[in-house]
Amino acid sequence: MTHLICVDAAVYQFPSGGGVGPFSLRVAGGELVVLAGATGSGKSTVVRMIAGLVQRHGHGRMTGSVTVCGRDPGALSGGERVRVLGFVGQEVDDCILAGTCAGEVAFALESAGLPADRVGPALARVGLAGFEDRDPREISGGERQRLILAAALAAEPSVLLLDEPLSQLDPEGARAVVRVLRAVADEGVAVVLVEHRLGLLACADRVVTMGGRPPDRAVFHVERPAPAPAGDPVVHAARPLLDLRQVTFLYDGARGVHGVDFLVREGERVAIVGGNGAGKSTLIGLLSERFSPMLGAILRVGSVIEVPQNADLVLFSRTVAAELAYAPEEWGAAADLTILADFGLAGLGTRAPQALSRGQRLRLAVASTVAASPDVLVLDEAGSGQDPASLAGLFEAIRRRSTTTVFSSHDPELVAAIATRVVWLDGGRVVDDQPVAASRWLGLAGQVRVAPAAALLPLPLPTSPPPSTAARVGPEHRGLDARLRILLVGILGVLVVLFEGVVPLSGLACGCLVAALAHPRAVGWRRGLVVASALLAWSTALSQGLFWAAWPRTPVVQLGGLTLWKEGALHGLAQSTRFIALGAGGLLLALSTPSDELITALRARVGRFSLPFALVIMVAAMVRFVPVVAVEWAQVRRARRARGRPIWRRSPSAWLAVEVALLRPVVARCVRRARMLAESLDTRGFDPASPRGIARPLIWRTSDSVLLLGALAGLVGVSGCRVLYGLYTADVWYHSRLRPLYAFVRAAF
Amino acid sequence: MKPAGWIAAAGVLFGVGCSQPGPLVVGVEWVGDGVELRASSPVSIVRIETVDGELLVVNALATPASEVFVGVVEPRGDVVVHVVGWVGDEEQRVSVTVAVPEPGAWTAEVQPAPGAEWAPAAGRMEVPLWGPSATIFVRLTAGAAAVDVPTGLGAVHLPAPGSRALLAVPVTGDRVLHIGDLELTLVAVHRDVSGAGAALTLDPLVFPAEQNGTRDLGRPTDAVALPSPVWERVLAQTGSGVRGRAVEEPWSFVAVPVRNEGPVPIDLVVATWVTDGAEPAATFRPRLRSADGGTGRTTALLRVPAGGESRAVLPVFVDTIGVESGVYDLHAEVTPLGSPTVLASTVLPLAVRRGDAVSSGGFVATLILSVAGLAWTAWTLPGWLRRASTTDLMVNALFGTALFVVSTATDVVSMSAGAVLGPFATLFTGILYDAGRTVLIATLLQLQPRPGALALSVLCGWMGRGVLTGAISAPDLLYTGVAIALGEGFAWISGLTRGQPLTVLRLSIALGLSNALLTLCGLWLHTVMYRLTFASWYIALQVGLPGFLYVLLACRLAVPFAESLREVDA
Repeated sequence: MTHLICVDAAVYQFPSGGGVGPFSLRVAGGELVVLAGATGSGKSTVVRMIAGLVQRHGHGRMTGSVTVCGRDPGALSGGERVRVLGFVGQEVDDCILAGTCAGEVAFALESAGLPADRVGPALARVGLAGFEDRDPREISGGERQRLILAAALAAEPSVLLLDEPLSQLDPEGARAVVRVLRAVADEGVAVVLVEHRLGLLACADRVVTMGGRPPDRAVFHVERPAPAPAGDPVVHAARPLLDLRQVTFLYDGARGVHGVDFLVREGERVAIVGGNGAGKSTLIGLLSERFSPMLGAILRVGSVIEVPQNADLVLFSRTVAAELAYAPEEWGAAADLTILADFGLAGLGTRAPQALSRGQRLRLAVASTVAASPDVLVLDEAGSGQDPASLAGLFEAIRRRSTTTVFSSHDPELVAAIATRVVWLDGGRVVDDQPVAASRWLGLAGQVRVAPAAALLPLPLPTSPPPSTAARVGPEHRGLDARLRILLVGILGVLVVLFEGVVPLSGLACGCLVAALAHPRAVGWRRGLVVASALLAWSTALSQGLFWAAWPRTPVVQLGGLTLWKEGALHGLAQSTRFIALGAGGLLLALSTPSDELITALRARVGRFSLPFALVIMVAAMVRFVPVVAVEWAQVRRARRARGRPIWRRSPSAWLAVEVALLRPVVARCVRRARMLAESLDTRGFDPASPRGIARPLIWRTSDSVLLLGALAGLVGVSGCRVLYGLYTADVWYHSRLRPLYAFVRAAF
Repeated sequence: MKPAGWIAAAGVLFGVGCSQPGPLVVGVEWVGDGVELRASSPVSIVRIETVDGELLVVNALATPASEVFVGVVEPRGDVVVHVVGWVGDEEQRVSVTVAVPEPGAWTAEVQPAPGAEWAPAAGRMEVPLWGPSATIFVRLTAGAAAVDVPTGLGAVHLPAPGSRALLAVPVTGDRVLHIGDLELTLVAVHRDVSGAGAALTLDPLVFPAEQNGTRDLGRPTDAVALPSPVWERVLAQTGSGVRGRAVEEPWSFVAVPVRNEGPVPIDLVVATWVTDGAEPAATFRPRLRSADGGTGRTTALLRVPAGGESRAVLPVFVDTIGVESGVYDLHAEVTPLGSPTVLASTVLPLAVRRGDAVSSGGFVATLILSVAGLAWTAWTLPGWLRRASTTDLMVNALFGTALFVVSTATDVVSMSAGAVLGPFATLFTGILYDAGRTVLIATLLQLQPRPGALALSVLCGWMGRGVLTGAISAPDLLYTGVAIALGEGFAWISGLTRGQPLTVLRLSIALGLSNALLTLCGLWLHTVMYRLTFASWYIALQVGLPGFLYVLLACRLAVPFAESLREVDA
């Protein structure tokens, strides 16, 4: 048997101490191997060694040997990496850069110099046929997972590596991905994946458990979490803490929850379950006051604090001890540091929270929330990616603190072991609300788990409804070329500087503002845009009214030692039209052009000049994560608010210190995300030093050329007139024949 | 009209203005003691020779003109006038022969009122009297030789052929004046001043005006707009620029329109002058001080026909280097000839606007800095990108994301606060923005302590903002260039990109100074490109507080913040 993956006595020493290995593994083509083990046992490091990522990006020391298809994976060029290896990282959402599914898949093909016609088949292979022009952010989590899989498979690599690809998926979505993986392996590809939810992987050829057992042996070993204590109080007589009555909250008029009723009593551990998009996170958000119900009511008795899906966003203090002490100290109580031991964090009190391991960070996030003594603790899939034993320990620690808990999860084993009640959501409605023993969802999940591998294959892959015409954007976009749009905004920027008169500036401002307001994508922004424009005009008029130094000067109002001058205010009002024109014109560009097209436009070659692709990729990454970072920052602020006094009830310096501290988790997430993104790009063949082609170029039409020439001619005309007039007014050059021109510029510009 | 319409009209006007005119046509006539020349285009040189080619006179005009008088002493027969003029950009030369009449012994002409046409001094002439007396002038011109002319006021000696003498003749009543063998009868006609005053109307002054009295459309109305004194001084010292630098050249003209609804024409003295408060403004006095008799006034004589209107056009002199911004008063008044009684007067507020040398200089410095920053980036960018790992690039990009989110959030807060606090909103919201920005940049410098990291972050941030908000205008690009130049420059000076550890002092040098200068450059850009005005104290406040002090405060928080994040990266 030819082994495509050969790991021999590989050891990796982390720079901060500790290490992984020695570890050996051989995987042949056609094999589907699962790498299992406790959280922190080094599974991800092994997969990253096989992918060559540790060799290229790690700061630690590696010994032993790793070869893929007989080659050192750390020494492969970008194109070779794409052809040999496919890699799917842990956080799929952090690996997607492009604005369309086709763009995402085409990235690896561009790196390898392969034709773009492979995009369609790659998407079809994972059940995403017809998704080429859809925005990856608008498809479901399971579809995104398959999209990344398609991107990894597009170049038909010999080896496919996946790090916890199922952690964010519901059982149905996970099954779909597993079916694809099985099919890929059956085509002769060596597939290695890291996963905790072994129950979903009955079709695997081997399960390699890391941590204490000899490697390369097909041993499936899962430590079952401890069963719930018999004396758990699940009694209806207990005090109700949360009461949801006919609660409705919808996004985009459709997604969300509809008419949900349920009650949480003191001491209960309620699991909210359901598929991806069933409304679990919305319901959690409603419970923790992140959202307010559109219809219905929520009655709360006591405090409800949420640990978000990404537990890192709760950690903003400098040390672990400070994090745990934050909430008690905010309310004037002494911190109880014994909680450190309860949550397995003993001895870590002086460490920076953000520098802990993933599992430790999760435990700290929960511990610091529990330290705030909430009446109800809410966890939104907080345990995903953790092994069952770790999760059992975590929930046991919560139980010892006697906190009522509501948590969402995809994992039936976890739910069965921890929950006292299971609320099953489907399509935003509660379809089953039963004690754990009577839960229909758990019953169905058990059937799924025992289904034979062969029976999984013929099932169709679940997909979102077919994309609507309105949602389709891409190279066939009927409109101006993105490069032309950028140039037009640039020309607008020069024109507003050249013009000085109220008439042309107001004309430009009104034109741009009306066009921006009329744009269909501006529907939700219209009021904000008008208010922002009015505020801009007002504040510029105010500023210039105060600072008007030229004459004449007519006082309007005396503000202490300052005078507001009429002429200045009018001048400011006129000048504000520049800003409005610029802002509205820019917004129109941003609204009317998908970011994907703009980024492709940035790669345009002008003569011998083109922007380096690495810079373009940086811009794409920056743009891609703006909404994510904004949401995360808001989550951090909300998490702090739930655990402390209002931020303004302190001295200015303390207030500023808190504001700065709240950036810590955001920045830490950015650093981690950047690493993950870099590895994702690396495995898709990105190399900052290598030039590359554009798989899906923009199309420049004749009409674009005509429009550009017209705009340029106008710009040259205006600039020329302005320069001649400027020379005249600066006393530098004058020609009597140009007097009509001077008069025209003065009157019109 | 839409901008496109304006642009099209400008093109047409420009085309008309630049179209090729016809050849230079010159009409020349001998008048009294010289030649009077009228040309189809302004001429710059007039050279007069005898028919034998002997040079008589050359007049090189400081300012080309279409109507020129050149005096010729002792022409000794006909003369040839050579004219050099410009038609468009083309120099043209024309030569014309002019017949010179044989001179008599002497001639006498009389001017019934100053500024009126000269007429032969013989016969009967009416002299209007607006007061107790008037003065008329008699001009005597010698013929081919020196001559003594006997007059009723005594003998007048004309020492050379063509020489002239002017006699002022007081008139209080009818009188007869003998000049040689000529007899001139002066008939005094008394006029009613109050009646004339009631018949006169002084229309609003037209300033700036063309020499023909029409409004000068190329300049701001009712204002003197000048570049900064520094620029004017440079132009003056280099002898360059539009306007002649001769002290007697007017800066512009003011037209004084006068209407006369009375039954008789009125001869007026029109005077204009500029005051700064109550005193005549020295910077507006005629440059030839003796010409105004020390009064600061410019005067002209004007005859307003009965039931008609006339317009006096007077020069306005401006000391373009010395005059300061402010509002002055441009006065105009009319008095009847021979009387001090003011018939009408008006005042026009005259605003003087000067360019600001500091802002202009600052803008130029900003431009240079920006171009330097962008050029340096363009030169070194490929090298940075080649050497950087993908992780570093992504970390840099995501710091750009965090910076964008923080700055957008504070922008929204600033905009709302600005509605109440106006330009002072940044003094309150700036602390948030500066704290956020400083901790992020400090962390970036901690993670990537090498030249180029800051520049990449700024560049990526600018491009990202362009994609997200369309902010890709020229001022944005200039600001980006300055941010790169200052950020990288001070980071290098402080040692942060040369391997020195991150300390509060180094960070303060790197970010505090660069941000203060960046704030200043930003205000200069706003001043020039967006025509905004800021008081000097406000600029100092912005540079000192949000620009510098807030950043220093933020640096104290940023260093421990960056240290804690380094552990994450490790």
